[in-house]
Amino acid sequence: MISIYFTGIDLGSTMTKVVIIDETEKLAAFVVQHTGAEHRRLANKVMEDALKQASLSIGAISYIVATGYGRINVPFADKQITELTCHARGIAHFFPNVRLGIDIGGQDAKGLKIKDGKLIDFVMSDKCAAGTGRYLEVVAQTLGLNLEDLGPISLKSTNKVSISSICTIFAQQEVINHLSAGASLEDIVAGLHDAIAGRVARMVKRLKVEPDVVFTGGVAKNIGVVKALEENLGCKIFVPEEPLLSGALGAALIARETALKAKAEGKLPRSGSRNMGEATFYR
Amino acid sequence: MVVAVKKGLARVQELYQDRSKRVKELKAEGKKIAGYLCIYPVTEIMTALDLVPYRVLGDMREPITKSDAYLPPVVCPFLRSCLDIGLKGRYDFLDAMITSHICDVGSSLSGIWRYTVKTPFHYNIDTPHTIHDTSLAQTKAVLKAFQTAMETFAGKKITPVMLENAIKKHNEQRAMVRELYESKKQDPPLITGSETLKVIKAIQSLPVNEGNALLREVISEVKTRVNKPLKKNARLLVWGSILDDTAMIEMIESLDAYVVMDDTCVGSRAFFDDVKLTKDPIDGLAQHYLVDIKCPRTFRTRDFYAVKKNYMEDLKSRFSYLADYVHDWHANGVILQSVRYCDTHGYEVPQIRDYLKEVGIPSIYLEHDYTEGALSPMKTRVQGFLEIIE
Amino acid sequence: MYNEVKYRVDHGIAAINRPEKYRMSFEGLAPWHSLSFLDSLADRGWNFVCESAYSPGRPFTVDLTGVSDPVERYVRKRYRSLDKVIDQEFEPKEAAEVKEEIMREGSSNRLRLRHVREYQCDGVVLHVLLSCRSASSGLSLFADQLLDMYKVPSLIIEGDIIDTSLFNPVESLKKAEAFEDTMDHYKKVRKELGFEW
Repeated sequence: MISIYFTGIDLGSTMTKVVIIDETEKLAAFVVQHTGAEHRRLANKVMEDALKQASLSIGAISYIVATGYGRINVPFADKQITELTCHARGIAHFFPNVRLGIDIGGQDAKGLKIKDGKLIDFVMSDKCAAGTGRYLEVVAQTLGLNLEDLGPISLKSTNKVSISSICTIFAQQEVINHLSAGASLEDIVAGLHDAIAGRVARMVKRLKVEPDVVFTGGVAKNIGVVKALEENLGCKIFVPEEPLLSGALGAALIARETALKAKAEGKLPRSGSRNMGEATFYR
Repeated sequence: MVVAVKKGLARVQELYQDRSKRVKELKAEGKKIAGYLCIYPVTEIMTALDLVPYRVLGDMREPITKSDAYLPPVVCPFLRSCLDIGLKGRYDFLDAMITSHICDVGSSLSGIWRYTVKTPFHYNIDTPHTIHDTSLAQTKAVLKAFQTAMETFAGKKITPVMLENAIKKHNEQRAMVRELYESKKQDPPLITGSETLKVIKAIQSLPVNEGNALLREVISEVKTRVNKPLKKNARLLVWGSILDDTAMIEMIESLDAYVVMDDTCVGSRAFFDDVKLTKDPIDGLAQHYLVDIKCPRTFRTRDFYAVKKNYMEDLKSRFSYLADYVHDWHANGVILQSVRYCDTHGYEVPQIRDYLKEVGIPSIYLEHDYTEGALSPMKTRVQGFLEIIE
Repeated sequence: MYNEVKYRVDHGIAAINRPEKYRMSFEGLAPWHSLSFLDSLADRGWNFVCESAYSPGRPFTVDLTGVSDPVERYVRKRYRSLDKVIDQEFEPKEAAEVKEEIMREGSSNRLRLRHVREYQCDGVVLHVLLSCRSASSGLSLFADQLLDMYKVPSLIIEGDIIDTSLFNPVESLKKAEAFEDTMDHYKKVRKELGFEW
């Protein structure tokens, strides 16, 4: 029997992720690339890389779901679903008992209320950089550190500083003040992690915090933020092995579901051929 | 050359694009134009005096550059926009500016408008904010004072018969708006949310007779439409602060949804209750303008004097009409929206959400800032909501 | 406290315990969480001689003979109190205008404007509270009218009653220092125009 495959594309503001799974939900490919200014048009290039990884041609893909900030710029997708629904599905795949998903990406932060693997409510913060990956990028730059170093450094802190500014720009000023007052790098970074965690915690508390709580997104790779979130929420937080996977995986799972449902009803999941070119204009 | 006069929805679209064209023509013919902010100024009194009531609104697409000098950025962007375009001369054709006590910032705006835009005649109606009997009595006194002031402005007096006739004409308009909204109960609705907003905005830009004639055309056009709106999955009710531009509704309706009903003030709020005809017309007007209009600027509670309140019973008494709207218009979800810094609507949201949750109606709250840029992230939220209620 | 204040008045001792450089008015609710900020202004010779948020008007009497009901007595004392304050401060013609303004617009700045003149203020600090729109939304217009009418400049210092992170005493002091140049400038302007202060 010929295997059929399904694809989820998560075109985020910072990173583009593509997942290909087969009908048993086994992972055939997972590609992550920087979105950049160009890639908003070039989702087809990332798709090609994923196909190469899985040794497949586009014809083998039965259904494609696009999600994320740039989901409109995937002309070859069969359906567009919000990253809210997709993340919820993706997270529940690895953590079936999840009740609260927290995703902190490059430019937004989301809280997802999940029940029986489905999204039932959400909160989003995407109007400002505070509480997102951007916040950490800015402060890492101010401190002359690499993003990957922030987590391990913060764990050495013994007396974290307090960052009171809500705004990323003003937080930078506070960091400089602390540095000139002689605070240690570890304590400053720990303070910053506490600030971002506090902000996100305040947002997700609107959804009622219940275990299991799962944390995804690029920022979830930062062990310092994970610990700070646990402190601010007062509960254990799970982080998947690959925190960037859940959006694209969720999209692929929905693609699979949609296609198999159509097949069971004797219908074709989609009609027509795919336009594998670039997206023609920004929206 | 005879220029064909547009009718029905084509006329509505024309008015949407250039709202003040008609009143400027009327002004050239010698009519006086009475601008009014919000739906609390009594338009019947203006009509009775043969003035043309003209709703003062903002312009979402005009960047706010002049009103920062008078209103700080942390207040309602809609009011800032109204002041901004007033300062830019776009309301220079008004002969009168009538404001009412919508909210504290609205009151500040009243004084600022008088000092800066300098509309020749200015009046502020101090409507109370509760619905006690004493508030109603106060409202009657306030409206009588308003009538006297307007009579001085217009240079003539209103008899009870004149006022009653004006009330009848405005009630006729209300009845027709309700008839139009009836056509939205169908699936798919015969008129989209975006078109509805344009119709309401049009009739709030015309004298009542012309508005009524236009409504008659629109209603018959809509009922016999050949190019009906296509079927969609979701039917939504939109509640909240003023939406005077179709941008947000269009964003919602670009997804798999229709806005089939609303509880907003360029929408159903001014039209869903008739003014009762009373011996002294002011009595009926006071009842309508204080008690019947369901805007959060008026504080309602089930029993003012109760020492202990039953939360859910209180919420039911205040918001069950929303559940009725949802039921009657076969909606499957509610979008609560308010402009940033609108405390009046913002404070109602948690309680409305509690109520809707209790009666099993899904809802989502969107806060926006009266600009087009704010709509893009909102689309994700609305789509996420639609995916949840699917 | 009365005796202490009377002593100071009788002996010409400024409230700030040093020579007065600038006579100031304060608009808005006080920054209760950071009152020491006002001390740092006092160090620069800023003497706040009037403010409008908490000061009652001059005392007045109401004839309550024959009124025994305590609620009615209270209401009669409070009702029309704004009326009486206006009658005290303005000549009858202007008083009528002010009342008309309040009836038509809900408020009038003329009382506050009058105080700036009466107390001969060199500048006004407008404490704009981010979350108190009721108090803050009218302040810009007041600043405008003040400059227009009496050539007295205003300084906006942003803050909040609840959220202390919105008030920045360091930045505010910097602004205050710069504002002194503005006040000096307008002192000259007023002199040239013949104002009495």
